[in-house]
Amino acid sequence: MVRDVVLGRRRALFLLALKNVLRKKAVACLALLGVGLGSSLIIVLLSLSGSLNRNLDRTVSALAGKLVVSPRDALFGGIFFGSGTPLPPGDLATVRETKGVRNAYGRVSASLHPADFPDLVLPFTGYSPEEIQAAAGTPFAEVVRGRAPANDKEIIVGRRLVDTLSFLGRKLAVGDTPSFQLPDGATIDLRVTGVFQTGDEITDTSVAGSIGLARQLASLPQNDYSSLAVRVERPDEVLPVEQSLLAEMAKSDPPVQVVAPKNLLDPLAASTKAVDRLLLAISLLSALGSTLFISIIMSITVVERMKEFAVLKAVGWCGRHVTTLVLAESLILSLAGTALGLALGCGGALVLGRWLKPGVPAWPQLVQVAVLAVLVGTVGGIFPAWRAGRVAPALILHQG
Amino acid sequence: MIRCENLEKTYGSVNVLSDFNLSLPRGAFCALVGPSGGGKTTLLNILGALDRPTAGRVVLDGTDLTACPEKALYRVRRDKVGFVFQLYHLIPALKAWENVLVPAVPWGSAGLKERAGSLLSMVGLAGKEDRRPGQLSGGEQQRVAVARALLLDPPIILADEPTGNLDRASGRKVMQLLRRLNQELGKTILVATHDPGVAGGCQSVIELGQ
Ligand SMILES: Nc1ncnc2c1ncn2[C@@H]1O[C@H](COP(=O)(O)OP(=O)(O)OP(=O)(O)O)[C@@H](O)[C@H]1O
Ligand SMILES: [Mg+2]
Repeated sequence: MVRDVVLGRRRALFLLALKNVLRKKAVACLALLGVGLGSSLIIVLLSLSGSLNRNLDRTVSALAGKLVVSPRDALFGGIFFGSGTPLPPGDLATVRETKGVRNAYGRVSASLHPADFPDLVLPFTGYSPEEIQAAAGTPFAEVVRGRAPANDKEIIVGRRLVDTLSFLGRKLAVGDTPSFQLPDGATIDLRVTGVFQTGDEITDTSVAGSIGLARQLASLPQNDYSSLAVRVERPDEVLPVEQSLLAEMAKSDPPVQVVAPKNLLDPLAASTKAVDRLLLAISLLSALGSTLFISIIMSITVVERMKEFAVLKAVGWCGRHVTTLVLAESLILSLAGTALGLALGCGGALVLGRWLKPGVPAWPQLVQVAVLAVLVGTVGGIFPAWRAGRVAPALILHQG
Repeated sequence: MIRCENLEKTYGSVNVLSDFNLSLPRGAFCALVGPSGGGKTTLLNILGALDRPTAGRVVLDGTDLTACPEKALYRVRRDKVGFVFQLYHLIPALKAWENVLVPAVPWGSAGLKERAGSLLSMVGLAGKEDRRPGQLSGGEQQRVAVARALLLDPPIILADEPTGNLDRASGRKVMQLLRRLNQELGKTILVATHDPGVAGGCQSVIELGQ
């Protein structure tokens, strides 16, 4: 078929189809808009679902092979805001001696309250010099703009947090020295020296700095930690190491919990899948809508043009040729509509991207949408085309 | 060239044609007359393979239409017959030469463009190839329709009141054209008409529906 078109056997038919489409401008515009809006919706939804999945995948892989030991009274297993009773330094030693643990570092979590907007809470994590030295994947090792903090008055901010704040109208740029409130009511000026991006969305929505600064912000005693970051030898050993840690630290005071952050995300992954399915369902509904739309428009034009099809048959076309002509018209409309939808949808995705970071959908998704367009045009055109091909030439010509 | 045997056509209980026999030799130029409702259009539709008779046999240039399966009838319409209608039935969006090419579109009409041009000059429309039907008079449109009927060079031309919508002068021009096709190209032509003048200009006359 494609070869026929290229070689010219079917080209005349497709040219005629194109002329027919251009003939009724209002109808063509209507069809274009109908299919265009439908497919642009699909593209926006696909790009949203794509970005949702990409973010989740990145976060999950960044968290693989990690465990967090935190006081049992800490919220969210201590991986979001470290709170609860501080852990004594002895706990760190115990963890390091546990089998399967590659290394462990004490961290101190705190919260930052901008002096001019104290109700805003920015999560802050202080990293020990050892961890900064040794471990890849910490914010200190993943600075994408500026440089890492060099002292207790300097901080770096996660990329995701910078975006979120700028959406809220609060710019936080490298070189700024915003003031923050301390627990005792005094204020402290901290210099933003850089922006980091670890790939883990949770960490990337926080502020990082030295452990000393964190202790000051959280009013924590020297040598105490709010959580311990544990790396296991092999990612698939997370579960057994979790068990041995729990056994080793059964008697420690305060009581601790051991959490694999990745497992905490499992319900999130499940709900992402549900959202995915919902978006897919909406996309399919929208495609179905476009199909119906094309079908109705083509049916109306076909009924109007029955006499024309009868004439085509009278001059020697067979039913199949008439059917092909109408199908080609339907296909042209849906392809043009989808092209419009691609433009609208990518534009929409970019506009949305300013807040949601979905970006333009990837190639496979665009291909999916194009395939969908062909399907919409074909399926939507089948019934009208079949009717056009079945017209009885004599009957129509008798009537005038 | 055209032969009908015991042709019968009924619509419900209305008997339009009954026991109709006809034999036209190759190169005949024949008028089909009769009262309105007499069955002229019905007969032409059957001869042109647009419709099927209720009973009887039709043989067209050696092809038995009545034995022909529905799916093969288009070949008869394409290869054997050129149809000219009272209302021209051109496609409004297409230019004159594009309208002439329409019968060949499914098989690729690219190579026939020159032939369309020469047919249009033959029917006296040289220089008006690029006009659309709306920019042509009725007589000119009918001559475009004649050129379209000639594109695939069928041996038979069937014309259903080709002058019915035209004034006397334009009608005469169209009939002159048909006569030329008959004399110079040897086409077998059957013209249904109400006009005694048109019928008088043909070699023979068949009356339908007394
Ligand atoms: N599809 C149809 N269903 C029922 N009756 C029909 C149909 N087509 C034609 N007829 C009837 O058949 C008869 C012959 O019609 P036809 O059109 O062949 O006449 P005609 O000789 O061409 O008339 P005119 O000179 O007015 O064109 C008429 O009585 C008409 O009502
Ligand atoms: Mg008639």
